[in-house]
Amino acid sequence: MRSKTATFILSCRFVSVTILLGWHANLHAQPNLEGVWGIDPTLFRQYSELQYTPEGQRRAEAFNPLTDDPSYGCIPSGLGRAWDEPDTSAKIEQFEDYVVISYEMFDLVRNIKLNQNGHPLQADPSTHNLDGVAIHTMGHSIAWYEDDALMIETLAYAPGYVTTLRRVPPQSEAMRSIERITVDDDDRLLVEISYSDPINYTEPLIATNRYYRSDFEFIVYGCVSSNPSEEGG
Amino acid sequence: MLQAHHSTALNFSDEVVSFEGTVASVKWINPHGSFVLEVTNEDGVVEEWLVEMLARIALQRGGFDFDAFEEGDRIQVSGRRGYREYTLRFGEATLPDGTVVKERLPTTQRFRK
Repeated sequence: MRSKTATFILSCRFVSVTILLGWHANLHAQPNLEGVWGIDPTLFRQYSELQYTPEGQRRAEAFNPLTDDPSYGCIPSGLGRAWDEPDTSAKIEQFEDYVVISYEMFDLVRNIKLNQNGHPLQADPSTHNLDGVAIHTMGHSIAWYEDDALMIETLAYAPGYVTTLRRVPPQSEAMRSIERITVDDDDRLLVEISYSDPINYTEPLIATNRYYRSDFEFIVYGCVSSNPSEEGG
Repeated sequence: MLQAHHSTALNFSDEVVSFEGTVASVKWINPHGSFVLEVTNEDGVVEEWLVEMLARIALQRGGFDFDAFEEGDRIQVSGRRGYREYTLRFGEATLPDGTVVKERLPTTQRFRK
């Protein structure tokens, strides 16, 4: 039979361990990413040097801005295009088992499930616009929290271009991306994305954007598609 | 200035040109505001130039005056010539009274730190 002293010591140890575990858990608490974010002009569209495969080089050079940029049709060319957008805001909402990232541009809503056992065999697009149109160029995403970051893995991309602003890195069905989203000590959102695509790149393409909390109300964008080849002249 | 929706670098050259003409139509929409300027060339032929601007949402947040000019107004416009014929990336417009109209992104007021 334990003495009262032994029981007290054991209790203290239990409490200490509990406190330590709690402290550790608190150190790596789920980050608060909620809010409306607008791009930080001092750190955006930072891409690593493109390391193309011959096929990637061919696809990049084949890009015709008048016919191959789906932006004219209110469709983002890829995930990077949504994050690179400077004129509009992105909104993050965190729920118990999923995260919603909305982009004002083109009225995109991205529903991402947390803590999944991999992607489903039928990986339907995670992103839709307000009309319910599936955005295949932004793939299927799953997410989890890792330390102080929200991590998002995306597969099942439709072929296209990661972005069409200033550069046009192509993307294939084989592309996989990992987004790491954190908030820094100055309450700025940092989005780092690694794109791996063995068809187009010999090395992962790394993109970095930073965002401030936006003062603007998050509004409906109401995109009107156009055909650039039919205007002007 | 920040640009969006499609790359100005991919669609417009660095050559800055200037025209005087009549505003034929105006579209204040997303993803691009634009207007068509009717310009009479040296041969007396009327050309229609498509002048592209920022998205309406960006113009609005930058405090752009959407009433600065309208259809039928005669204005002078300068900007970057497009790689496609008869296209121009808006730089600025000068109104008959000399007022200069520009796009503006309120980046300094836009974010709080």
